[in-house]
Amino acid sequence: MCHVLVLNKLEIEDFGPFKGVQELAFAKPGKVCIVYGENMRGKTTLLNAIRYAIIGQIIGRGFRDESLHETGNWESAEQGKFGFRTTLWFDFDGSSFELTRGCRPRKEVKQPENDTDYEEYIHMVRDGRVLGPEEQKKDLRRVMSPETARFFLFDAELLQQYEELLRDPAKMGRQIREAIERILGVPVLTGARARLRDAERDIQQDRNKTAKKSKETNQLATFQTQNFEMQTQAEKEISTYQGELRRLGEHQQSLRRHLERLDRLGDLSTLQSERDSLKQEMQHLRDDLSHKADNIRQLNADLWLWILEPEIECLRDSLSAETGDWLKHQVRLEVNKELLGRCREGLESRTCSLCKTELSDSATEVLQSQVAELALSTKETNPESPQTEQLVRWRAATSVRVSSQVPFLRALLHDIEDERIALAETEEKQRDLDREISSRDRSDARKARSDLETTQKEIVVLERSLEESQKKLSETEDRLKGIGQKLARIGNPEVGFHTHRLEACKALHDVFNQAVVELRDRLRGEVEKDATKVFLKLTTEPDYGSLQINENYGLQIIHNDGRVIPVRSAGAEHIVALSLIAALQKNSSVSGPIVMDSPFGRLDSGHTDRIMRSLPDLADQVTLLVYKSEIDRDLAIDTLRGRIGHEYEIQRVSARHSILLPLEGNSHE
Amino acid sequence: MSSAQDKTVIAVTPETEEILKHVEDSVSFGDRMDVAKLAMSVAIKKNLAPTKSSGRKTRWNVGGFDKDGAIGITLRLLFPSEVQPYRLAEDLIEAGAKYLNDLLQVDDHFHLLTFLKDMCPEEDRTTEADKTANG
Repeated sequence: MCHVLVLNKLEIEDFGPFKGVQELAFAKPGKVCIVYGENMRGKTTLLNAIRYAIIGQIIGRGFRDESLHETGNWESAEQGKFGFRTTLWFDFDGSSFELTRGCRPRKEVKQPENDTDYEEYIHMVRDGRVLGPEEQKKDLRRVMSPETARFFLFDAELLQQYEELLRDPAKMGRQIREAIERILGVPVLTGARARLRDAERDIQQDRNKTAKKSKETNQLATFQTQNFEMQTQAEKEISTYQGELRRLGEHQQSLRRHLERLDRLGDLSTLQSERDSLKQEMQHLRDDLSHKADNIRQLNADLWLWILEPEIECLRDSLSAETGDWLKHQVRLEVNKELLGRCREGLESRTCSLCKTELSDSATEVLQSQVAELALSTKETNPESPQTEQLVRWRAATSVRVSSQVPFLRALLHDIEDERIALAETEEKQRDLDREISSRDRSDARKARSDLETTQKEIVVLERSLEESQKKLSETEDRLKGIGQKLARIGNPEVGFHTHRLEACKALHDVFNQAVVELRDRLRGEVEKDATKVFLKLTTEPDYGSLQINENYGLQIIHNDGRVIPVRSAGAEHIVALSLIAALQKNSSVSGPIVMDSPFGRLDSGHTDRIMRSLPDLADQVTLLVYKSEIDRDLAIDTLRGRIGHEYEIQRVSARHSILLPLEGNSHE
Repeated sequence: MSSAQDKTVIAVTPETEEILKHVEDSVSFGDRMDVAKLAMSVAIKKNLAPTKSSGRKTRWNVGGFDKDGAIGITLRLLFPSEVQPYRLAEDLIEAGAKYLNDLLQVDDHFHLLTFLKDMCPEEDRTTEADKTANG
């Protein structure tokens, strides 16, 4: 039976750069939801929010668990609001769910500083009924487990990990193999088989107890008890060794990855010099930002004036005629005042102020009458409005500052925004380099190699011990088999009853054993067939004929001539990994949504186009998180032709604040 | 009332002081006085009624607040009947600060670019010649 999971809506609060409460409506089954966002805006964080909402896990770069403290929105934290929340509305097997997860500071903590200062919470409602903790756990496990989530929610980094595993199936970790089998529903049978094994043990114990009661079988029963103990002991040893080997295997893999990364990155001095140049770049950006902030500070002193400039201009236009007259009158007044002064001087000194000759009586008389006239005229006030006078004064007072600098201010503010983004990006790069350098400081290549060597030796020793315990177990089981046969031969009816039960149980176990083998084969065949179908749709290489699966779910490309393609390009690896995921989706016991973060980054336009066209066939519900240069929006609309459910854009408000904005015009829901 | 009785100091209420401080912290301003002048202009631009309020505390001398007299002249120019421009400036600062506070309520941050978009919209740079050329 296939369970159907449909995501309806996600609400996030203060998750990463998504400050406050924001919402993402998923596309309905059969349609695609696309979220566009440039780098550093929060696409991967959005994928993490969806992942956290479903399985309660936040994965950072290099598959590290992200810190709760650092996941909360920084701006909100600066304003004293700590923690974050996600609420997911989804349908599963005909029921409607509302799942809320989040974290908040512990009661006694006022200023959280790290993850231990937070407590996580979870509430789940099914069809309007609040679920208790046990029901929650059960339902969550049914919906999606952390192991299977990797096939539903993935980014380029996870896809790359698959590519590596597909290229080298020997490296395919047991966890991933188990996860693949889990998603395909194999545990239904393996679980039943394990239960039958337990039942077989119980019956053996029953038979042993019955055999102990009879004289003729007592000795055998005692011998059997001893062997049971040896069997339990051997099994315990095997389980311990296997666990330890698993741990060491993972450690070995992580050391190998670490060494590969060291090889890729070159020596420490290169990293340090890269970090130094980043530091210089950041200092330059900070200096420039500080210089621009000073400029803005100076400009802002006159902002009040520029804001009012249009109002004043409007007034000036309406008063322009009056202003001219007022100025003429004012000039006349000033000239008359000057003349009056000179005439008065002439009268007092009885000489002409211009030619310095002595004044005659008649000239003095004329001058006296002129003085009287001028004195009268200078007493006249300017008849125009006081507003005109104010306007002229205003011009004089503000002449230096008017002529608005607002466009310049605006340009400066845009520059500052861009530089802040550049600074945040450079800081992020520097943090990555710091982590890299400090990890290399702590365990340099030599130490990693020595650790690897030690681990390999421990693995050899453990494998030998495991082999011995397995041999011991096998011998014990042979002995137990022999004892069982002897007990059966003795013919005690009560013991015989248990022997019949045991045989029935064993037969059933064999049936399930065979069923597991057949199911695995069938599923591998189905996965191979579906992966091939998807691969041929996605690949642009006409000579590729099919994919071939191996025991470990590794996939190889088969040429049309039947030969295996030995070397695959990065693009081909990517397509193979996507084909596997699509095939797993098709054969999964849960039919669910897929959310892909930047899946086209390393692909050419031909492959991107083919993937876009096949998106609705990859899963029932697809959500794509992409940057604009990864796929062109117009091309996406054209390619998907009406199969776009919703489109969003992650818009930047500040380096620590992004908004999830629905794009209008292409929603078909 | 004559202009001789106009204010010689500019005072603001503690609430307005708080808003001015918030804006000053959000955006680069050389002095809180510049934010007060901005609030005054906002009130004029948005035709807000001057707010009479009590409990104001002296903040600046008029001499310092309006060194070159431009504020006094601007107010006399835009409000010809007003005989006490600095008293009016105080009331306008109160009204404008409330407007700025409403902008801060949106996300607790004063965005100068958004503010400029509202207060000084960019002019359409298309010339008449362009318009004719484009039909």
